[in-house]
Amino acid sequence: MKLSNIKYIVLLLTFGLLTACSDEANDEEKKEIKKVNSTENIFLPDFSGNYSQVDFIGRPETTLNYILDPKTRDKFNQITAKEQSKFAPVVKQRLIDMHKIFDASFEANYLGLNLNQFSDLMSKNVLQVSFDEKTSYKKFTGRTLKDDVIDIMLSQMFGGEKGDRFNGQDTDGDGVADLPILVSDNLDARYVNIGGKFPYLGTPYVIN
Amino acid sequence: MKKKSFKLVALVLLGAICLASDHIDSPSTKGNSADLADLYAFKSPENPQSTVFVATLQSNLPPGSNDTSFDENVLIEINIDNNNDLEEDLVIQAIPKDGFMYFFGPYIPVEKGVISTVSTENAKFIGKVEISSDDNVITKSKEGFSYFAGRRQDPFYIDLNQYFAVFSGKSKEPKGGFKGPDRKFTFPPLNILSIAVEVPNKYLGKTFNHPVASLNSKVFNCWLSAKRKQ
Repeated sequence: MKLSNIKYIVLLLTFGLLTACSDEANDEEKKEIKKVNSTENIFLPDFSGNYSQVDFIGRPETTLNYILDPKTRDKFNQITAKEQSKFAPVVKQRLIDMHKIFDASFEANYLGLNLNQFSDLMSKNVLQVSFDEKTSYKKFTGRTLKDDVIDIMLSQMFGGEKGDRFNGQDTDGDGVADLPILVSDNLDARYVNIGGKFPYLGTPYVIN
Repeated sequence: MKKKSFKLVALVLLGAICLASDHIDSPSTKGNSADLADLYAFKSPENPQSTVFVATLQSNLPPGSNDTSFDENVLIEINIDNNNDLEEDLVIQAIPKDGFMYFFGPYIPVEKGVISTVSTENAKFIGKVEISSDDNVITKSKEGFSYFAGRRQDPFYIDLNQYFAVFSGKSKEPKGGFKGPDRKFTFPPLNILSIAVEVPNKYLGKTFNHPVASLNSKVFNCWLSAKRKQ
């Protein structure tokens, strides 16, 4: 066989081998795409770039009760949950101050948490969520769309062991309330059409 | 599902204002497209082996506020902490583009903390759903996931005037507390932008002992962040 023919054969074989490898790689790539998304061709927009935190929400009561100064709130919502937990002394002092308004002090609540324990829990600005337990903000197993988080929060702060420590009681029987109502704002859930099927949220209000 | 129709009236009714819980907002985000309101997380009523996450933003939308929309420069991130160290172990991301909301995750984030990127890997992409209009709910479901984005009724309510009056010592009610159970109150009709995603629990990682020992349950932590493109 002439040397030129051998070179030609080598080139052909090399080309064939490269083509086969490329096809194999494409097949692998195609298989992976097919495996994860078999029903549609994926074309993703360009979402590249860095995104920087400008707002944060965990517990519904955190900025309502504990982080009152607007400038502090701005910074608070731009830091991590871990950094936010360092505000525990602020949370504790706020609970003390809220009770002082009514010449009272915090008593262990229906969860069995004293002031230090409750402050520590509240300083973790996150929702605890359970896979197995029924969801209830009252038991810190998540938050449903219908949880009355204001009443739950008030009861945890001012309810004491039984949850109704400050509920407008007439302690001396003269027909006049001797204690303020602090365990409920007495606003019942009003919104309808929550539930049913996903996404479970109510139909928007429209202009008549 | 019946529509609720209301005449457009002044939002201040009976001297009360109803606002989403994070209405006491960062001054820098208040009223703008990255203004988060609430995070809900609950066992799916339809699929008990799944968890539903609902994020609401841009609260206090009166009926007819049709010019309100999701911001394509704002990434909404649901953070999952599986070991109670208050750092995200998994993220679920939602970001809008051209009338669709794109969902990613749950996946282990490349970065932890206040700066995020969006995964470019197809394997981390859940799917996209057309952003719903008020009268046409569009949802998508795939491989146990369901997802939605659009305007809905705001599920949260608070009489903020009364709340502040009580905890500044200025309430005129008996002993300075809240009004009694016989109070009458009319809720103003308010809508809110909402993102909902239902996730099979097998994708949400592990749980740990509840920090409240008396509750005797296993949980994970979650929180919501809004991140603006730099």
